[in-house]
Formats: sequence, structure tokens, C-alpha cells
Amino acid sequence: MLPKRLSPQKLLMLVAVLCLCLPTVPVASASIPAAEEFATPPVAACANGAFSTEEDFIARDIKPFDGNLYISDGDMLSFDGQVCMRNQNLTAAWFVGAVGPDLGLDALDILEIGKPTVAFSTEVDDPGGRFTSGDLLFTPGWVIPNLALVYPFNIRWDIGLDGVQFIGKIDNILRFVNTLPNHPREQFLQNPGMLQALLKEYSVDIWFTVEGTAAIGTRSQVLDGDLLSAATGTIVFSQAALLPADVPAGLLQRGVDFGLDAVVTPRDPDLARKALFFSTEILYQGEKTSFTDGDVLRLGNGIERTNWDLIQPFHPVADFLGLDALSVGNPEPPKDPNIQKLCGDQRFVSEFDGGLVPINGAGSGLYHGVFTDDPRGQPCGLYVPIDGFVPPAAGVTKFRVAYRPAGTAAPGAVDDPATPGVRTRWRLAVPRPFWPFGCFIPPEGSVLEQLLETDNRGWMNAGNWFSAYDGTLTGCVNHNLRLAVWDTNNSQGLGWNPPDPNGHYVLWLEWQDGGGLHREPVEHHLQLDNKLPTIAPYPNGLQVYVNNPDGTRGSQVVACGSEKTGASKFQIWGQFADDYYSRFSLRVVGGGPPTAIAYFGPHRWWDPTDGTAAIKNTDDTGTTPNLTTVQLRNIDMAAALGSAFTTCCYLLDLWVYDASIRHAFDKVVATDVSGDYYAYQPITFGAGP
Amino acid sequence: MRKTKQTILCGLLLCSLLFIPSARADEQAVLANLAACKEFGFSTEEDFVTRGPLPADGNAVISDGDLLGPNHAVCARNAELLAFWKIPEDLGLDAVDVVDVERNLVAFSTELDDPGRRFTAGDLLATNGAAIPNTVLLTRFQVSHNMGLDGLQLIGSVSGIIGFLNRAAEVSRAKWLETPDLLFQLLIDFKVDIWISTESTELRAAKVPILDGDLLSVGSGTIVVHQADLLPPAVPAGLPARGVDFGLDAVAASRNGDIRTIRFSTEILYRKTPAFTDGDVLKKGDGIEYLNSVLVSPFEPYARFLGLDALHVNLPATATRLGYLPSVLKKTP
Repeated sequence: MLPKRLSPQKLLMLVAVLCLCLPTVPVASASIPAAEEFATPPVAACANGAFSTEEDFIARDIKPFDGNLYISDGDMLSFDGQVCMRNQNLTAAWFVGAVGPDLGLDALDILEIGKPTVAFSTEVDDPGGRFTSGDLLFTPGWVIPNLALVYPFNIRWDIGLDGVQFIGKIDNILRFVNTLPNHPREQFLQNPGMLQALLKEYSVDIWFTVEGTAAIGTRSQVLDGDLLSAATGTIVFSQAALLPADVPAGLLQRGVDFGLDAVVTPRDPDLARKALFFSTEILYQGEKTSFTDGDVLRLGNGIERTNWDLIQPFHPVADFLGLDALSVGNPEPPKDPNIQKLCGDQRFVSEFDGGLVPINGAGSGLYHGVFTDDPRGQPCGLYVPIDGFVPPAAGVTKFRVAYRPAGTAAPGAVDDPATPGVRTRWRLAVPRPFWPFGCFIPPEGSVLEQLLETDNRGWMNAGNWFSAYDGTLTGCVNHNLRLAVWDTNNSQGLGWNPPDPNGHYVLWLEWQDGGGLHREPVEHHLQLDNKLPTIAPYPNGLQVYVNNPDGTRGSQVVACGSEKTGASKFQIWGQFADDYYSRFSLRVVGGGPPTAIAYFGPHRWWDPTDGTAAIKNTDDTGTTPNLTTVQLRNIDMAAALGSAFTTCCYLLDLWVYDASIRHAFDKVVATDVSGDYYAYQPITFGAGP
Repeated sequence: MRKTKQTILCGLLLCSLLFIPSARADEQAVLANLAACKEFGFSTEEDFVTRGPLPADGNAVISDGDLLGPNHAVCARNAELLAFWKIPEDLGLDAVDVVDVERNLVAFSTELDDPGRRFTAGDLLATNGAAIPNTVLLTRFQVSHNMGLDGLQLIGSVSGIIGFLNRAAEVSRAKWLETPDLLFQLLIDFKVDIWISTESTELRAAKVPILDGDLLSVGSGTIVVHQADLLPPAVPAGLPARGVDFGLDAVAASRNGDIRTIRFSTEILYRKTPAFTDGDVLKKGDGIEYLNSVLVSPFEPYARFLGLDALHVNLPATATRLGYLPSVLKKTP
């Protein structure tokens, strides 16, 4: 029933007018609101670096500076969920007084946050023909044409620009960039060799990647998967050198060009060759190595950050949005307290899978840093030292390391009553009351003993901690102090352990200062493991058999038994297990003279064999199949013991090692004792030539 | 009577155009193996080395600019597609529609601009020398800048499309830019439409917001299929409502314009259910039809995934599953 005052004719007209108007009405959240078009972008939010996605998406639960949750693949995004610059902010110098079109963002290097000065490239050409998508642009409005970048490679056409990284001292780079107003695009086009001369003059380089390929199969070959140097006209890293040997990367030998879409390195040329990160154009799913074209990859060595790690702070609906441009800034020293190390002084949180993720971010909590070869990663157990940064001058009054089981949501408030903190008790160095004086750690329970410990919720009095550290509390320095040491297996018997000593936990730092209670904006996953390896009880744990000449298993040499056929080659069988198994070793002792010792191993679970060709019956949880005694390896006692292999009694030892990183802690110093945890089983038998 | 005569004259003129070889047909490539892509053709995202039978030219390197077909066929090298312009550089292959193998007529777009500046990476090209500027294609969307050309499907009768492309080959770039309406007159004359997808998104300076995941009609200046309608409802495709633009990297459909026949690929993968990669051939609203590995495995590459940048499928007029494809896509062990 229509209202009487609106005639059908008027209604028809209204509908018609609405229909005419509709195309001009912007979609509410799919366009930048006009009122906020000239809002100041928070460029400083990308001081630590930035990236762009392959595709547009709608962010959730964030507040972009212009109020628009529509994120374009041309926007510059921070690693903590902020839109630092819209694409139109990047290209503003070319569209003065107007809002330019979104031209995409394909390459990125943030040179200077203050002005700002950002080097970048677009996905499509400038509508006004002032630059192409292959040109290197600078936010003040300067352009280095693609033809000048690729000129040293004898490429005479615009071959695109996919990634860029400036190399050199930042002062030199900025001096070079500041000369660009004197060298308009046309000048570079007329004299493309000028760029190389300028780069050399300022001792800087531009490393970059291109979209196309050139001269494939010749000595001048350039792939879109190679990293190129504009200053030297050489390939800094070929496609084949970027990816692990098991990835068929590189033409022509290995078979595939995976492309090089985003690239980032330190600016120091030597460091840059060691710490290069990049993404590819296509994904790879191999038996050993897999990655997507949205992951940040390490030079020759796997995934540094998954695509989800990057985009998660924007809470998109999809868990993959690609990666088109990447830059890492020169961050200022941290101002807020934060956890930096887990499981000892050498292991940084960033080296753990999920060790440095946004709140509620994902990760396995396993250590993958430079001190392990274990491709699965290592858990931590026993005592876990936790250290980081608490600035003395920041007015921090107390701090704690809070934790919760992984998979549970972060509490909504700091100092949540249901959230426990790591409790630690320190024995402090104090002045020795008698000659020769100086400082010492009094014996436990001594009347001289002075303790510093957290409260029952893990809060440490920061004033006491600082003064104990620098010596003003007791008169003796205590530089051994860490933020906390977690007794994960209740070794002290104080019940300060987590509910599951083998659980997966998430840790973060909380602190209080004059501004109230705070917490880290990131979290740290940590997988615990306090379970030791177990060798199956006799007779299944360790067995010795004669190795027949045809390689089959011969008769068993039981414990205390003797092999009397003169065989010197034996098969060693065993059965052991551990959730985080690492490796096993064997040792044979005996013979005459009784000084000969032969070692076999260690054989790590990820080694292709366990010491004998074609024999591999261990995996990351011990022998496989589980609960089965399997052939470990063969040993040739004559070869191993030489002339000492005589008719005699021999001792065969089996050690099975745990993968967990473990520390001891005497309430003074946390000491790495990782290699000291193993299962052991011996067997004795007689043999001889 | 006069009207009838005019109609007959126009008809004769149109028919005659079909038989008039393009003015520059002598410069057209031979494309000796194009017939292998009559039913199905594609290009990859990246270059690779084939371990399958050696291509006819003896070169085992397959470029992302080459047109590939079933049974490890290299239907056309990038240089053959660009033979009219005599371009030795590989400019990539971003979109393709094999129009007529007998006439060696292929419509396509490149990844890179012509070094000689005769066309850009967003222009619609054809092996007969036609080059329609990107901005002309987008005229009816009131977009004045090059948005790239990522997917392409010509709609209409094959004879109409041939006539249209032959006529288009006679138009210079300057003429297109001077009189963009000429395109729409030709599309009407030959009863042809051009379906495209773009590289970039334009939300404001266009008649309607354009996502690079939308399928556009050049002739009508409308969106033929929105991103949200290409993918199954379980996929969060479409902006702003569902949250993500997955892009539209390659597209094919029946020449009669039945949207139910649309096959396509996206720019990014999706890992939840229904999962797909950006190299799979997807069916409109119905998930994966062919995995990327099925397309590339006849070449026996070292990697199972090589992406999908351009797609041509000679689709029947009605919506059916491509029952014949398994027979033309050779299975390898």
C-alpha cells in the first residue's frame, strides 16, 4: 500500500532519479571517503618496514588513518596492521591538487621516514605518460626510467620492475636521491649510462628485479628471478642461488624460473649478501621444501615469514593475499620493554617459529635459528631463560613474563587474574664479610643469602631488579640476571611450572609504569619438551646380529653370548622413541689390547641414512615403525678396531639423544646443558676373527 | 525499398570484409603449430625447461610468453605472436583468445610494452596487426588510463570476430585514440563483444567501481560477472561485501556469451574449502575443473606448478563440463 501523498507517477520518477544517481554514489566502504582524502598518512608506522599485497581486501578490527577499511594492493602496509600510505599518497607528487588513480605497488624501499622519501614502482603506467610501471619512482616526484636501470645489461626495452633494494650508506643513498631533481627522466633516457656513473660517484647501488626475461640461454641471460645490480651491471644472485638445492630453480640447468617478486636486504653490501629475503612469483610444493608466492623466504634456506604472518594484523577474511612489495626499515632502538631471547642468550625470539607474532598469531614455538640443523626445529625444556629489554629510564615499576596455552585467546587486559606469570627466584651476589672481602654468592640457606624473586603472579619489582643488576642493591653487580627463568619441569619443587611440562605456550611481557599497565604488542610461541627418550627394555632395545655376506640378517648374538663363526660384520638393531628425538650414537669397546674404541654416529633423524647405505629406520620420533625393533645400522668391527679385533668380550653402547634445548639453573646462572640428556643402553657379547 | 537496399549493401560490405585479407597480412606469422591450440591453449606465469618431447624449434626453454596447448604442444612462440611487429624480445602473454587457426588469427595481450611504443601491455592485440589501446577498450567505463589487460574472451560468431579484427587492423593507434567510438561502431557492425579483465582496480574514476577480479564487457560498458559471482559462495570473493578480490588472471567462455560456460583463473590462491591455486582452471561458481599440474605435466617440468596467465578454451555454446579435455590434455605418469 503506497502512501497517498506519493502518486505512482511521482514514485516512478523517484525510482528513475535514484537509478540515474546510483552509478555516481560510491560504494560505502569500497572507496576512500571524500572527507578523509587528505588525512595525513602515518608514515612513521612503517619505520620498521612495509609491504603490499597482490590483491585488494577489506581489513577488519583496525582503524586506518583515513577511516577506510578497503585495502588496495597499491597501499603501503606496516607489519603491525597499519596503512602507512595509500597508493595516492605515494604518487601524490604527480597528481598535485587531485587524488590520483590507484596504480598498484610492485617494488618498495623506504629510504627516509621523516620527509618521507620512498622508492617504489607501480603496477600500471602513469595515465599522463610521465612514468611507466617499470620505472623507479621516488615520492618527491623523481623518476629513474627502467631503460637506465637495465642499460648495463644491454637491455634496451622496458622490462618492468618487480623489486628494489638500495645498497650503501644511507647518507650516500639520500645524497644520490637528492641529485635526481637535476636529472629529469628525459635526461636518463638520452644518456642511460649516466645512472651507472652517478651510482658509482655516490658509492651506492640499486639491486632490483625485472618482470621479463632477456637473452635466455646466452651468456647475457637475465631472468625475472635474478637479482640485478644497476651499478655493476651484474647478477648479484642468480635464481638458482636464491633457493635451496632441492628446489628446481634456475634456467637452464635446474629447470624453472620461480621469479623474484619482492626483495629486501640490509643496506650494507656484505651483510646484504648474507641476509637476503625475498618472495617468488609462483609457489612450489616439493617433498622437502614448500613455499607460496606470498611467503618471505630466506636466502637459500626456507620460509622466514609466512604470508599469513604478514597479513594477519589486518584480520582479512582470507589467509592468503600474496606479496608484491617488501621493505625493511632502519628501526629506531626500542623504547618499550620487550622479550628478545628465549631458551638462552644465543637464541632470539625471531628465530622461533611463531617467536615474534602479532597477538593471537600462530606458530609452532620451535627454534629454527643458526644454532640448529634440525629441520623440524627444537623445543625447550627444564629451565628456560627469558631475556629482553627493559629500559632503566622508562619509569618501569614492575614487569612480568605472562603465559597462556597456545590456542587460547589472549586475555583482554594486562595483569589478567587468570593469566599466570613466570616465577623466578635469584640468589644475589653480596659483599663477603671477611677477608679477602669482595663479593660472593652465599650458600643456599645461609644467613647471608639475599634473594630477589617475583611475587606469586610473576611480577618482579623493577627497581630492585635494576639495582641488583647494577650493584646498588647489595653492593655487588648481578649481571647474570635475566627477565625470568622458567622452571618448566618443576625441578625446584616449588610448583612454579606450567600445567603441562610438554605443552605449547605463548609468552609476552607485561609492565607497569607511570602510565599504567602495558603489554607487548607481539607474542612469543614456545614449545616445551621435558620428556626424555626411552629405549625399549631388554631384549628389544638393542640387539646384535651377524650380517650375512648377502646382507641379510644372520643369527643373533645375545647378551653375554659369543659369535664363534669368525664374523666381523654385524647388524645392530634397536627400538627407541621420543616426541622430539634428535640422534643416536653407538660405541664398541674391547679387544686386545683393550684400548680400542670405535664410535659410530651420531646419526641424526634428518640424515639420509643412519650410517649404512639404504638403511633409514629413524624419523623425528625415534625408530620407525613405532614400537618395533628395527635395523639401525651395520658395523664392521675388523675395520673399526683394526688389529685390536681379537677373540674377546666387547661392550656395545647405544645413546639416544633428545632434541630439546635444556638449561640448568642454580638460581644464579642458567647454563646450557642441552647435550646431557639422552637414554642409554649397553650390551656385551663375544666375537673374534 | 530504399531501406532494404541499404541493408543488402551493408550486408555485402560486411561479407566482403571477411574475404579481404588484412592490408598487412603478408607480415603475419606462419604459426605453423597453432592448430594444436584450437581447442585449448594457455600460458604459464614463469619460464621453464620442458623435459617432454623437444619442441619443433629445438628449444627446450618454454617462455611465459609462449602459447601452449595440450599434449606438450608449443602452439606459438612469443615472437611468432608478435611477428607482425617484428619484435624479437619476449613480452610475455597475459591474455589469449585463439580465434581461427586456419587464418592464424589470435587475439592476445602482453606483459610488457612494445619497445617501439606501438602498443602497451594493456592493449588488445591480434596476430593480424590489430592493436586497440587499453583506454579505448575502457571508454564506456569512463576510465581514462591504462588499467592493463589480464583476461580476454571475444564474443560473437567466428566470422564476425574475424571481420572485426581485420577491420581493427586497419585502424592506427592514433585513430583509435582520436575516435574511440569507432570501436563501438565496429562491435555493433560485426555483432561482437570483448570481454576483458584488468590488472588494476578503479573504484572512483569509473562509471562503476571496477575490480581486477570483475569480468567486463567492452561493448556495453558493464560488468558481465562480478568477482563475487565467479567463485562459490563459500569463498570470500568480492569487495566490499565478502572481503577479498581474488583477481581474474585468465578467462574463457563460449562465443555466444553464455556466462555459465565461463572458465577462469585467479591471481591468488585460497587455502580453505574449496581450496584452489592461482594456476588452476576454475569453473564459474563451481570450483576447480583442472589442476595446474594437469595443464603443465605433459611438458614434464621440474616443478608441478607453473601458474596460469592466459587461457583459451573452445567452449560449446551450452554449459557443460569439459568432457573432452582429458582426452586432449595428455596424462603423464
